[in-house]
Amino acid sequence: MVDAFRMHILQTKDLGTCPVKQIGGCSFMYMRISNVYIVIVVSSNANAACALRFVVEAVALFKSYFGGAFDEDAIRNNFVLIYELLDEIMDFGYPQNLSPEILKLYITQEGVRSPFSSKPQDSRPPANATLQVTGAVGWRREGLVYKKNEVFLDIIESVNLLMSSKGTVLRCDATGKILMKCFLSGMPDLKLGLNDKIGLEKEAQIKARPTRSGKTIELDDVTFHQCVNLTRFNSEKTVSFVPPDGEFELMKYRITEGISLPFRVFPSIKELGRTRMEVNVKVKSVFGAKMFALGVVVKVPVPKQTAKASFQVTNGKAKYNATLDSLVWKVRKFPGQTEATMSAEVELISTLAEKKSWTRPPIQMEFQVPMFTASGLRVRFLKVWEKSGYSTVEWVRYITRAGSYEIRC
Amino acid sequence: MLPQLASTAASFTRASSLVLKAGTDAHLYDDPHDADILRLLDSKFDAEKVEALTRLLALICQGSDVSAFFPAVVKSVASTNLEVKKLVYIYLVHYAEKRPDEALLSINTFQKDLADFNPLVRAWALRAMCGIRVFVVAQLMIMAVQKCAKDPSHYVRRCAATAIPKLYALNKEQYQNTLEELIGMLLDDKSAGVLGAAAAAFNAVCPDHFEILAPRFHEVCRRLGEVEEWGQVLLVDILHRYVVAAHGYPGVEDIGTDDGSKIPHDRACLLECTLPLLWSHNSAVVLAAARVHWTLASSEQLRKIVKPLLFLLRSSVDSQYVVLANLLTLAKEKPSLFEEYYGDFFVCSSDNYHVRAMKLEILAVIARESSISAILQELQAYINDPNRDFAADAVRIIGVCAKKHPSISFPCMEGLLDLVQGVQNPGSDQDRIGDGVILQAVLAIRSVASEHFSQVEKVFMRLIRDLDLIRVPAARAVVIWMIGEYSSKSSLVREILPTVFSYLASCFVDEENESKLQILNCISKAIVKCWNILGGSLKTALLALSYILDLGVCDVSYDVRDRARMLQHLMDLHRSSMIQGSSDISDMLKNTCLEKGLESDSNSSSNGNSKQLLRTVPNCLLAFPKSTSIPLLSLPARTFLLGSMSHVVNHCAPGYRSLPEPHSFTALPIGSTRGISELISADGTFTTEMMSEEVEEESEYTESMSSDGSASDDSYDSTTGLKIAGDGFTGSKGGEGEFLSLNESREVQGGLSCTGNDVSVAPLIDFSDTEATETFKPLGINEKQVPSGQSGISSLSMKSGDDFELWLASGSSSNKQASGVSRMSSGCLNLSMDSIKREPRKITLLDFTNGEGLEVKYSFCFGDPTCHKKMVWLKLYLTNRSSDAVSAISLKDTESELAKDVVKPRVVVLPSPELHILDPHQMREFDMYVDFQQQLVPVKLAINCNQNSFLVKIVPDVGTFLRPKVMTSEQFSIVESKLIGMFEITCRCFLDRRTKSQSLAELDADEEALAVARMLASRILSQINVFLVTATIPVYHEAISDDILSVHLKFSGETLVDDKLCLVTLTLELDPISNNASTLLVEVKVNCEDSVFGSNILNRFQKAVTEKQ
Repeated sequence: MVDAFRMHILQTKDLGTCPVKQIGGCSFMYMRISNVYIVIVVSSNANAACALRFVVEAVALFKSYFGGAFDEDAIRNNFVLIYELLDEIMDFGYPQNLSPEILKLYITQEGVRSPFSSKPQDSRPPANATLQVTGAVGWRREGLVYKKNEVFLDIIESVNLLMSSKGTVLRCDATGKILMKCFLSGMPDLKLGLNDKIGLEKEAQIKARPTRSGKTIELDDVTFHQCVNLTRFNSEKTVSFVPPDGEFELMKYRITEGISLPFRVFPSIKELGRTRMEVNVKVKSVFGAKMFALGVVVKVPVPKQTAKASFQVTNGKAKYNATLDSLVWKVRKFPGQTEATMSAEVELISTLAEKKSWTRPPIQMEFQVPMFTASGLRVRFLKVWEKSGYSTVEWVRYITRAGSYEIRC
Repeated sequence: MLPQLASTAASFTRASSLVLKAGTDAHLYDDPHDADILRLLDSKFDAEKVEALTRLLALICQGSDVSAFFPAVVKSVASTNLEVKKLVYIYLVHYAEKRPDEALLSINTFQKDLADFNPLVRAWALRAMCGIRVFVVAQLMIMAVQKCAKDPSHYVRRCAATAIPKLYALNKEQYQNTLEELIGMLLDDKSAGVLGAAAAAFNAVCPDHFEILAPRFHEVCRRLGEVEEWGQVLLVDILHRYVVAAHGYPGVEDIGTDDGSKIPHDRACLLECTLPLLWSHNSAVVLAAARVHWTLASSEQLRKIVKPLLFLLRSSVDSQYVVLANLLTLAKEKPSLFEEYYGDFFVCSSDNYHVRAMKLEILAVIARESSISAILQELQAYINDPNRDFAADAVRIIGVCAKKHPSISFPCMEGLLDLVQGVQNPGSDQDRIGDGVILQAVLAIRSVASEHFSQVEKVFMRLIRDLDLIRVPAARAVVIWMIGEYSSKSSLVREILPTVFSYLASCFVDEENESKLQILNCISKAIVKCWNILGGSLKTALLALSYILDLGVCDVSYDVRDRARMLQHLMDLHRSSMIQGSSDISDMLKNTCLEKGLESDSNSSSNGNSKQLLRTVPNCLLAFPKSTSIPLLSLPARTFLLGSMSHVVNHCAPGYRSLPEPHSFTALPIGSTRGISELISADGTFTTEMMSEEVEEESEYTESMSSDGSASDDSYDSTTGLKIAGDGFTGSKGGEGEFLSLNESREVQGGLSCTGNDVSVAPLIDFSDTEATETFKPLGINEKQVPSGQSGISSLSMKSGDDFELWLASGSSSNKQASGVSRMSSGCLNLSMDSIKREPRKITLLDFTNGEGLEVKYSFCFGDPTCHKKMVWLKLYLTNRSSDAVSAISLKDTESELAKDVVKPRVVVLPSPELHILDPHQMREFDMYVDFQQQLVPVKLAINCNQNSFLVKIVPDVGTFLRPKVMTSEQFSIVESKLIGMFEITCRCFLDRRTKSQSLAELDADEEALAVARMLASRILSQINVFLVTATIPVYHEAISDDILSVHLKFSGETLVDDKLCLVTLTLELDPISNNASTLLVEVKVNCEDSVFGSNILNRFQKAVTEKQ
C-alpha cells in the first residue's frame, strides 16, 4: 500500500493536484498538512467527502492535544497518544466522537507540546470523570463551574476582491466566521441575534412592529457548528445552541452584496523603453476616520529581470524583494480616510535573448482592520439562559482581513 | 587515540540527543529495544508496564513483528489501570487474529470487564472483544453485544451498535437474524449517538431490509437533526433508499395510486428533515442532503440546494475536489440550476490544476446567451496564465462555447486566430504561448468549422494564409487536414489549392512526421473528392502528389513510407477507374504512370480486387489525424450515485449500491407497528389491489416496450448504425481499420493453421475425471477443441482414475506416479493438475433474440496463450440460431476508436472476425485477445451483422489477469518465503459441505478429503488462470486419527501486464471429529509482488471458493 502510494502518487507530477486517485482496486485519498501526508485507503464504496472531512477534524484534534503544530516531530513525540486517539475516534471504519473537549476526559495522556507554543497548560480535569462521557449533549460535559461567566465573540471577515485595471470591481465578496470562546457554568442555552435581514424580518413579524431602520445584511450562505439547532434555524431563523466548553467556530458565512471595501488602489505602471519602468501606486483608505488598519502590505509584481528599484513613499517603507519578484511596500499603521502613495523607478537588465513579454500579474494587498466589518455585520444580542440564572459578561470583537485582495494592472 | 575520540564523540551526541528528547515518546520510538521489554511487562508497577507497552507499540509502528510477546501481554489484561488496559487492548486487537489460541485466554477478562461499573471499561472491553476477530468466540460476542445493547449507558449501547458490523464481517450468514433484531432495537434507541451507529449497522448488515426501517421512518426522520454528523450521512443514505424503494421518484405515478396522500407525505417528510442539514459545516452531510433533494424534490424545491452547494466550494477547501465532481454532474444534468451563478466557477489563483479543469468544464456547460460574454472575458484572462496546460484548456473551452453559441463564434474565431498568429502579444513568439495552446486554438477552429463552416470560412482562409507562421507540428497537421476536408465544400478553398499544394510540396521535406502524413492524405483526398470540379488545377495537384509520393517512399520514417506506398497504389487504381470516364486526361495519367515506372498490367492483374479496394480509398483518405485528439477529450461523464466514492473516481468501487428499484418495497407499514402477516390479513384486499394494479402497470409497460421494440428495433439499430457510419471520424476510422485488417487477416490465418497443431499437443488441459466417464463423449462444441491426438492421454488418465478407485478400495499403497494421483512418502496424497476438470463458464454476449438470430457467447480460456502474451485470452462462439443466414458479421472495439492515441489495439480476434455469411445453425468460434490493462473496466464491442450494430460489453474477471506459472513445489516454497510482510495477505472463508454432491455423505474422511480437494481445485481452476503446483491430501490412518487433517492446495501464476509473481495457498482443515459440521473453514493466503493486485486476487479466490455451483 505504502509502495503503491509512493510510486503512483508521490513520484508523479500529479502530486497535490487531485486528492482522490484510484490505483488497482483501491482508492487513495490524501491530504498534505505541513510536511506530513495523510492517506486514507479505501477498497469499498466509501463516502469521499466524509473521509476528507474526517482527516480535517482528526488533525484539528491532534493539534489541540499537541498544542499547535502537527508535523513529523509532533507525530514522533506522541505516537502512543496517536494510537490511543485513533483507536477511539475510528472504530471499524466508522468515525466516532471527535470532539477534543470530551476526548480529553478519558484520553488523559499529556500531549507533548512543541517548545515554541506559549499556550499555558490547561488545568486537567480529574481523571475519574469517566461518566461525563455519557452526557446528553455529545459536545459538552456536565457540572462545569466558572467563577466568572464570560463569553468572547470574535467576528473575523476576510474580503476577497478582484478589480480590473480600470477600477471596476470584477468580483467581490466577504467570507466571515464567528469564533466563540465560552467560559460558562452549567448547561446554558444561548441565542445569537445578528443584523441579518431574514432574522430581523421574522422578528418584526412576531412582534408586529415595523422593521427598524438601519443597515441590514443579507446573509447569503451560512454553515453552523454541530451544536446549533438547525431545525430551529430553518423554522424561526434564530441561531440557538448549547455551546461546547472553550473555543469553537460557531458559524461561517459569505456575503456578496453591499460590501464596503476598506481600501481602494490606483496603480499606474509605465514601461519606458526596454530597461526602465515607472510604478506609481496610490492607496486610499475609505473606512471611518477614527479607525486604522494594521500591517498593510502592498505587493507590486515586477518582471524577473529587475536589477534595482528606487522608491519614494509618503508612508511606511518599501523595498524590492527578488524572491517574490515584486516591490513590497509596508505600512504599519494606516489611519482611515487618508491616502498614501508610492512611486518607484525600476531598472531592468536588458537581455539579448528573446525578450519574454511580461504577463503582468495582479497587485496583491494584505491588511487587518480591527473593529470594522466589510459586510457591516453586527451582533445585536447574545442571550444566555441557564437554570441558575447567573449574569454573564459578553465581549465582542470585529476584525476584517484581506483574503485575496487583487487589483489587475 | 583517534578511535577513542570518535567513540566519546558518539556517546556525547547520543547523550545530547537524549537530553533533547527527554519528556517525549521519541526516545521510545528511536530505540525501542533499549530496555528489556519482558522484564518491564512482568513488573508490578503500572508505570513500567506502560513503558513496555509503548515500546511494543513503537515496534509495531516500525513494522516489526512483536507477536512473540503475546502471552506476556495477555497476562497484563487483567490490570485495573485504565492506561495499561487501553494499551493492552490496542495490542490485542492488532495481533489476535494471528494467534487466536492465546487470544482466547483474554476472553475471561473481557467478560469480567463487561460487568464493570465504569461504562468506559465496559465499552472498551466490548470493542476489544469484537475487534479480535477470533471465530471461535463469535457466539460469546453475540451474547455480549446483546447484553450491551440494553446497557444503561448510551456510550456502551453505541459501542454495541458499532460491534454489529464487525460480527457480520466475521460470519455473514449465521447471525443475520439475531443481528437484524438487534438493529431494530437500536434504531428505537433514545440516544441520538446510538441511532447513528445503528444506521451504520443497518447499512452493513441488511441494507435492503426496509421492513425494519418502515415503522420507524417518521421517528428517525424527526430525530435526524440530533444525530452526530457522521451518523447523519449514513442515516440520510438509508432513509433516501427507503423512500425510493417504497414510493419511487416523484412524477406521474403519484396521480395514479390510491394512497396519493401518503406517498407525498413520506417523501415530503424526508425532504423537510434534510433541508436544515444543508447548513451543516460537514461537507459530506450537505452532499448527502443535496442528493436526496436532487432525486426527490420538485424543480422549485431543488433550487434550495444550489446555494449551500456553492458555498461548500468556499467553506471547505479540503473537499473542494469532491464537491466539484458532484457539481459537474449536476450541472451537466440541469445546467439551468447554476446558470446565474457562473461567477462562482471562475478560477482563483490558488486552485490547483484539476480543480481548474473541472471549473472550466462546468463553465462550458452552464454558459447561456446572457452570461456568455462575461464568461468569455474571464476565459480570455486565463489565456495569459503561467500554467500553459490550463491556458490550453481555457482555449478549448472557448472553442466549445463558440460551437454552442453561434452568435459569438465569429469574434471567438477572430480571437483564436490572433492567438495562433501571435498578434495579441506583438514581439512574442509562439514558444511563449505554448504548443498546447496553439494546438487547442486550431482544434477549436476546426470544431466550430465542422458545425458552422460558412461563418468561419474567412477565418479559415486567413489560417491557411498564415500556415507558414504555425510552427507546432500537430497544429500544422490539423490545418492541413482541414484543407483536404473542406476542399470539396468551399470554392474559396478550392481556388487557392494549387498555391497551397505547391507550398506543401516545397516544404514537405522539412516537416515532422505527422504533418507529412497529413500532406500525403490531404492532397490525395482533394484529388479523389474533387476529381471533376478541380478543373485546371488538377494537373498541379497530380504533379504535387507524384512529387511528394516520390519523396515519401524514400522517407526516413517507415510510417510515411508505408502511407506513401499505399497511397501510390490506391491512387493508381483510382486514376485508372477515372480514365474510363474522362479520356482527355488519360494521356497525362499514362505519362505519370510511366514516369513512376509502374507496369501497366498491374491494373489488370488486380482488377478483381480493385473494385473492392476502390471503395475503401475514400475511407482511408478521410481518416482523421490520430495525434490531434490528445488533449481534446473532456472529462468523462459520471453515472454513479452522487457523493459516493464510485462517483468521484468514476469507477464502480466494490460495495457500490445504486438506489433501489422504485416501488420495490411494497409492504404497507406506515405508522403501524403490527406484524406483516396481520397487515396482510387486515388489508388483504387493499394489497391485492395494489399488487394487481402494479402488475397491470407492469404488463402495460412491457407491452408498450415490446410493441415499441418490435416496431422500432430495426429502425433504431439502423439509425445507430448509420450514425456510426455517417460520423465523419469514427466511421472513416473504422474503414481504415477494416482495410488494414483485410491484409493482416490473410497472413494470420496462415499462421494460425500451423499454430493450431501446437495447441492440440499441449497437454496442460485435460478433461478427464475419475467419476464422470461421460465427459469423454463428444459434448457439442466444447469437444471440438479437444484434439483427436489426445485420446491416448485421456484414456490413460481414465485408466489411472480406475486404478485410483481400486487403490482406495484396497487401501494399498501402490504407486501412482504416472497417474493423476501420486502417493507421497509422508503419508500424503498429491493431486496433479492433469486430473482436475476445468469447466470455463460460457457467458452470453449477445442473445439470439436481440441479435436477430445471431448468438454470441464467450468464455475465458485457461492455460498459456500462444500469442499475445500480455492480453487476456478468450474464446468467442458465434452461432446462428435463426432459420435465415446471417451475413456480413464483424466485430469492432468501440473505445479504442474514440481514443486514438492507443498505440496497440485493445482487442484482437483471430481468425479475422469478418464473416460474409453464417448459415442457419452453423457455429463458428474464434480466439480473442483483450487487453484490459489490469483494470476492471468492461470493454465495449460493437457486433455488426445484417447492417445492424449491437453494442455489447465484455466484463473482465480478475482471475484471468494472471497466466499460469509452472514451478515445482520447492521453487514455490522458496519464492513464498521471500514474499512476506506486506506482500502476504490472508483471509478466511467457509465452504458449505452441503454443496457437495450427495454421494459424498457416506464417504469416510479420507475419501472426503480427496473429493473436497478435487472440488476446490476444479472450482479454482475453472475460474482463475493459475497453475496448480501441488495439492497435498493427508491419508487417514487409525494411528493419527485425532489429528486435524489439513489439505493444502498451492497455486502459482504471474500477472499478465508486468509478470509479477502471485502465489496462492489454500488451507482446508478437516476435523474428523466435527464431521457433522455444515461448513468447512478455508484459509486463503496470497503472496504477491503487487500488493494491490494481491488483495484483488484474494477476493476473487474467496469468491471462487465459496461460490455455490
